[in-house]
Amino acid sequence: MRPASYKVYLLLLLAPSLLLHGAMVLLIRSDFFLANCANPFLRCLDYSYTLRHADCEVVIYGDSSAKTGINPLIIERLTGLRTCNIAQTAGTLRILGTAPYDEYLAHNRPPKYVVVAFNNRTLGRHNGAYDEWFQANSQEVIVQLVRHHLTPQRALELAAHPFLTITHLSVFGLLKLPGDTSTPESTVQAMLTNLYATKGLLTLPRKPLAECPAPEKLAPAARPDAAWLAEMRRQLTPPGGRILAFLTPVAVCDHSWETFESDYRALFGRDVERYNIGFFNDANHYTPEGSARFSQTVGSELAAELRKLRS
Amino acid sequence: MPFNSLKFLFVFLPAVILLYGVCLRVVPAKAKICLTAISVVFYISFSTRQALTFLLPSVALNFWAARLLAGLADRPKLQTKWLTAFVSVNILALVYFKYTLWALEFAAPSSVAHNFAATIIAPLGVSFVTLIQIGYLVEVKQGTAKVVDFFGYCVCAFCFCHVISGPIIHIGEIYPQLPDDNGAQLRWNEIVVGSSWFVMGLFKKVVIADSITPWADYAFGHPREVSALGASLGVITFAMQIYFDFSGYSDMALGLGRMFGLRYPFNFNSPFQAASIIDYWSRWHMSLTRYITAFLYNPMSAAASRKRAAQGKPIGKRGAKTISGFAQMIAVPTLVTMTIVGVWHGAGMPFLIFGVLHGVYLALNNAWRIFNRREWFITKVISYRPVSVAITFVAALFGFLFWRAASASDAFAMLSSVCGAHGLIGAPADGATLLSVIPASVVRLAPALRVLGAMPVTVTVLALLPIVWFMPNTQEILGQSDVKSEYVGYAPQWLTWRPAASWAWILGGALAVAISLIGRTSNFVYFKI
Repeated sequence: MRPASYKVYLLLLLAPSLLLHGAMVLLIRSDFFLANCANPFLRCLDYSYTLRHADCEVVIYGDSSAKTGINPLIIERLTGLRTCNIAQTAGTLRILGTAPYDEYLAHNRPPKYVVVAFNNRTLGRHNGAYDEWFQANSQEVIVQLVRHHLTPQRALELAAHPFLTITHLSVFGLLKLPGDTSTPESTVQAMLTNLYATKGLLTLPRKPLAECPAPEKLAPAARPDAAWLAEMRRQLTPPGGRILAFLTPVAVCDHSWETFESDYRALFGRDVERYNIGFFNDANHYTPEGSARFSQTVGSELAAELRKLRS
Repeated sequence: MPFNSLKFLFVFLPAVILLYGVCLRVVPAKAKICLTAISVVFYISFSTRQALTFLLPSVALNFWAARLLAGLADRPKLQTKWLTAFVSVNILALVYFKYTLWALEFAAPSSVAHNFAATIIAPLGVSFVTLIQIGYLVEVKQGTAKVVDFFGYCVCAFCFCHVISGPIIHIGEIYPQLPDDNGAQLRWNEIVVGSSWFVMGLFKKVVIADSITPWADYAFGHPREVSALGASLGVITFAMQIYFDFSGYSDMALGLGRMFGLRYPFNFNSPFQAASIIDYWSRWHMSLTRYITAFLYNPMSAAASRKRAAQGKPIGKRGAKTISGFAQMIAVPTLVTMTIVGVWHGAGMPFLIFGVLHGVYLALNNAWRIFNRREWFITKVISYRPVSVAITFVAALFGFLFWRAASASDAFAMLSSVCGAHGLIGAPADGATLLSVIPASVVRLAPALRVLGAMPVTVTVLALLPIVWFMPNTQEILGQSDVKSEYVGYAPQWLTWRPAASWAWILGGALAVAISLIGRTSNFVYFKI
């Protein structure tokens, strides 16, 4: 081989990687991906983008603790208002901000009420140790970004984080391959059926926890980021409507964040709710019983707000 | 920044190839400085503290020591004393970093001692860099290695290509390959061979070794629960894991070296195709075997021979045929050497047992070679290659069982499981059996397993056996057999690599798969050595 051919060889050596990851962008944007994605959570998160003229009067927004913790049907029962839950993940909120909500507004009438709810760790004011792009949820962020928000500016953001993008656009990490037994399709279908039946409540197919997760397995607790919350409130407040913000309940046995409890109380104007660990099916997500209890809290407050308004 | 990271692949490697290429063109006399600087940056990417507290002081001390020893060539007794002192310092450093924690836990499990020892972190590559430097000092003393310039020494001692886990080189074999100021250049053909070699190693590590790791972890994590078949599969899986992991790393190191114009010695040559334990050690971690033979076994054996000769006893082949001669010249040096090798691999009883076990294996193998009779029936059976390969493989597995176990008690528990203490076939208590469909938790740990889907672990692991038993190895596929022709076989023509588009696509596909899985990879098994 002549020297020029060696250069061609090296280019060809890299070509399949480039083609594979380029093809992944096209694949992720396709319907095929949604039907064959290995991560059931990703399949469920697409719910908010499917809503057309749903025109919900109460829209629930927030992180995955809101997605698994607030049941729109219970809110509807308590308030009589049409409700839907379009909450995302902590990573999506941090990276995409209100973009998913804005996308909802593009196809639906503005709600009368927006309920935002966050886990204390989502709301924490993280410093250098916490790189937003490197949190566990970033796979979901990148998929949401590629599927629904791939503007030139966002594409540049992806390009600025090439390693994480490559890692998270891995075909083997995303696509359900033949014989995959990690989450049976029947389970995923049950999740999706429940998701649509409840207008957006996600229930993870996991058993209730019996004991608190070890502290080292939890994200570090931090002082709440009041400025970020204020900005979220500002952007989410519907024209002529109101916004209610909640901190989602924490486990009784989780003491890691208590240093900042007074900050949270001041920020939300109410005590932090604490549930037994049995109401959780992992560190940040709720069982149906857990979500029913928290939905009752949210719905009652919203109903009181309505009564106050009517009187 | 390990080799199996995107930062290394797409930032560090292209940048240093470019930088080194420019160095060679613009300031060829400074090329060694350039490669030294690159290697220091690479090491610092892991730990600045370790670079300052171990690597640079160690290299400076040993470089100065080599000069001193060379200057004392005409005063051999003083030279020997200094050599003993310098080697002792190196060994003490090695012992301090590797064994203090274990020794204190073993001898005085008080919290004060433990807390102190827990702060000692073995620097990356300490075992390899130290061995390379000790070997050089001994060779300088023997007069078989020349004194080299400082930056050439640095490149040989800790070039980023081999600093982490070898191969264990002799400075005298690498130094002549370093560029001088006579217009040496990076060569495209070397970069192409090196990158292909690197990709093969990356695939072995990321796609094969890391995919099966959870199964080995599972079996060795439940040594008192797994069935005989599950435990056996666990041990076989670990053997496959460590082979594809370490030989994959070695392929990457050899490939990197090649890109920079350095030809490192082979480290693996299809060890599971070995027909005896002696053969096995000439194929497994070959640079270590070469090193311990040269610097441990041979001197001990030679000393024993000299002692016997002084006593008027027979030496050489004739002496080895006597029981006392065999014991003194072969068995004892072998046992001592392999015990040291075992301990070098890690602190703790399992590694000691691993070393002693292989010492016994090798002694028995040597005894068999010397004392067996051709007319014996068993000799005829064992001389049938599949039988000897199978026996060697099982013996190696037995050793790996001790290597991988967390403690000696776990190793023996695993051994009893292999023997059927918890049933021949059956699921452990938690239902996640090694013999059924891959557990969901394992699939989540290693998404690569999705490729294999619900295929039973049994089939998957056993499918790797024909590869290690019958397939040509990477250097054979790459046609690099001219380097060590006495060991290397010849791959079939269709499987012989060529710098052609077809091979670029094949290896490019392997690279794409590896890159897709790279975010989920773990450290190399030999990183902890």
